[in-house]
Amino acid sequence: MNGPQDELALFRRNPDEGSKTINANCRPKFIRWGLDNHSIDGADLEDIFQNAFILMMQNIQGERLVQLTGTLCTYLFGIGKNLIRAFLRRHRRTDWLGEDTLPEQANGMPAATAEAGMMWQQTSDTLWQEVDALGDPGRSILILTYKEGLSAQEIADVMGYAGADVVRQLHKRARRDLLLLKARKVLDKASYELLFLSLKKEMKDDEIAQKLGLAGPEAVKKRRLECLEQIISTVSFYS
Amino acid sequence: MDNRTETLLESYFANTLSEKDARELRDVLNSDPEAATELKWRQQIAQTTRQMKLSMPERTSAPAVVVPMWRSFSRMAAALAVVVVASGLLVYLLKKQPAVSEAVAANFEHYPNNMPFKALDPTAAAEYPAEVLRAFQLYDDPAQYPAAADALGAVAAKYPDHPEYVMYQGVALLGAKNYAAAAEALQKVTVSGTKYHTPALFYLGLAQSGAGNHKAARQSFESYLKDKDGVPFRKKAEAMLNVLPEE
Repeated sequence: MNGPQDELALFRRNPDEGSKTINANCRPKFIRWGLDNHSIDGADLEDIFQNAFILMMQNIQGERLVQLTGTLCTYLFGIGKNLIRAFLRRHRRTDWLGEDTLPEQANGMPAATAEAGMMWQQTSDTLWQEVDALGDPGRSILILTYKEGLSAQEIADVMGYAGADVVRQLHKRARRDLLLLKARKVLDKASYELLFLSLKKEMKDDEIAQKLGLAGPEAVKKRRLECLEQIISTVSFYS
Repeated sequence: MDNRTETLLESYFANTLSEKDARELRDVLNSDPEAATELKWRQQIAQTTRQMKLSMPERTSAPAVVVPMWRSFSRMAAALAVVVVASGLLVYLLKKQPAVSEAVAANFEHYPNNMPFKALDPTAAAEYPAEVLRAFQLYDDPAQYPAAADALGAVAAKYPDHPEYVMYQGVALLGAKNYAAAAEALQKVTVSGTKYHTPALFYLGLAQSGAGNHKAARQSFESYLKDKDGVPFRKKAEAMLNVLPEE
């Protein structure tokens, strides 16, 4: 091994062998470091390291990691530290909005009756398929934002993007595409078209009103809101 | 929604909202129904993603580091033994040369829907018959490949001046693991003289590999690699050539 670039090149050539080395050498170091420096359970640290490893693989595959300044293990530590920071924030969460808008439940499923659980499964699965259909980077950005609780800057750091604004744009696009995928299934053609022109084509409300023959921009705004609420009502367990 | 509201929502989900920011966000949510609806939508995304995990990129064959399946038994020696045995098995499986059928599955990827109405554009969609739109809607969902193959087969027969429908039919058949039928459909596309003929060579190679026609598959992959447009699936075609037995 002559340096970081050699290590990255070797890994690209033989990812199986590289993964084994990381698993044998870097993972125990990371877990030990995490246990020594943070009050996080070993199993959670395993999950965090696994996520760091997947992100590294995505960055290599997406050619966002083309140059190393240290070793791959140092790189993984960098990602892992960001994930740990978000993990700790998540576990110190204060619900400033005054209601438990995202209740934590066992296994993530709202505790309710069996019937309600089944409803949740059906509705949540529907959206799950659509999040999956987004592919990466949209899928990963949504998971890092909403499940892992990373900020746009932290996501830029762990996914190798130039800055928070790039991530915000990708995040916005992912949310928009997800909404349109859902809208296509739920809304009638006219409502879908209004949403499409507004979100995808980014047309102004007065232009949309003119194109679709609506009374004016206020009518467009009102209808858009109704569309969003209709979409939300079809996937919301809590409604 | 303005930038400030965006920032507040981002902070809310990143758990970096201060008490002062939270008051501001509450005021925004009370006065702006669009922002309140946006928050609800994002909460639904959060609820969904809570069940999801990051996934390895598709094109890599690298294994994940050991997944802590044993976490609930982490203090039990027996579980440790299981992990050791499982790790050994994992390494063995990873080293093993994949069979052709496994390689077909690993190298198959959804061919992107390049139809003019692909971008959810209802204005372009208006120019196409409903049955075509329905067929492509099925095609866009990989879980529906068998139904998509049937629907695309029907529209391909009805509109023979659209050879591209046969291409998507072939990919859907391939996705449904109906290799012989896929090869038959894709063969037609490779001689169609359309822009689809090059990617069809790659998919034809996969279909022939899946059907056990290794010699023809090698020829298809080699033709794909020789084609000046044979770029997007180059690595996959090369990977298939490495796996296919020389006959």
